[in-house]
Amino acid sequence: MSQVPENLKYTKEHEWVRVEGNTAFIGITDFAQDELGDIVFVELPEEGSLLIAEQTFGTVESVKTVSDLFAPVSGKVIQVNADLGEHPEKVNEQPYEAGWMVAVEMSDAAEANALLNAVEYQAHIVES
Amino acid sequence: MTGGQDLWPVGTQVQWLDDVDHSQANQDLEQELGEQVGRGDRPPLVRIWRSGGRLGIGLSRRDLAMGAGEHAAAALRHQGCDVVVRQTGGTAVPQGPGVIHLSYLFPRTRSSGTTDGYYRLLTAPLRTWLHNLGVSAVTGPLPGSYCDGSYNLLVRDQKLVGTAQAWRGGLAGVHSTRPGYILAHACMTVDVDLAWATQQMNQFYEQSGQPYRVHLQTSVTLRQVLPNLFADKSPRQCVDWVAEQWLQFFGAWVSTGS
Repeated sequence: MSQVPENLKYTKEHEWVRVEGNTAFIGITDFAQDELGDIVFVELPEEGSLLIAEQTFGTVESVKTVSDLFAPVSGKVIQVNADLGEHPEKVNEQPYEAGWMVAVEMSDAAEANALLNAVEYQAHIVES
Repeated sequence: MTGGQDLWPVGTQVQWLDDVDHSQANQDLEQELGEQVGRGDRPPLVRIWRSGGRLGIGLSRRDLAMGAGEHAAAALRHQGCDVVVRQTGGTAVPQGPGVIHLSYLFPRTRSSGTTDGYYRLLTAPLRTWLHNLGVSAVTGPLPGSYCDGSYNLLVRDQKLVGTAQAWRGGLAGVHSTRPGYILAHACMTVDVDLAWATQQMNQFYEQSGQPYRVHLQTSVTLRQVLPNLFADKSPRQCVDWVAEQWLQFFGAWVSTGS
């Protein structure tokens, strides 16, 4: 059974968002990492880049397959999890903690409010 | 089903589409065609295509990003090795007039299946095609081979075909509400100087500071497997022959589902 922490927001594309003030930490969910298998590479934007909600912001690679990552919210990247360069497996091991990908200074907090809550995301997993 | 035939989209076309004079553009055509498929501007596609006309290697974006990857690629180019960058995962592969490619470019749907399903969809017809030529091939990993993975096609315990994928419009193997496409790709070494290609790949990894190494004895060409079939043919002529064969074979495979 996949973990779906109650304090996070989610997209239908299996990204999570943790909101701290005006900062959004972004990663992929436990369900997603489990479906992807062993992650060997994460390609992320540089600090200072601008993300646009629902646009791609990076890729992950597992089983020789590259997949698109989508931004759940818009804003400026203020921090990138550089640890994932050497240790991409952290996305598998701790998707909600050490496996976070980028921190974004949100330009529109309403975008985060509109995302799925944990109950809605769990229902989405079951449906899909 | 063995070959995952239920994943074949309705209306799939089989076409030979390439631009061998511009090797990177030839690679980039994958994305352009895939985006057209994802938007519904083009039917689902089985693309048969040849490598560029010059000997070289194909790298993944991961290859370039790790260590001094960009520097190592530039050094190889300076030596005359054609280096192209692809959108699928994995590690370096041989490129050149003796390499042929097969790409499935399918739209993402609500139930797009799994990466394993697409690897099987890719390798099952290739195994049948080889079987029709009297060649027994199996899928499996082969440590030390170029771009190793669970879905290599192996002949006599040597790698003849490598496979990889890219999923656009969301994560692989999960439902996505966004439009996008799935690229499942295979490349076959038909008639390649494997010693030269292996040396280039290993030079790339050595110069970029990565420990990965390819072992020459893990690879084989179709010419080595079927020497009589390609007597007196150049690498390009061998690949052209395979491309013609695949056009017919995959045309029939797609229309009948096997």
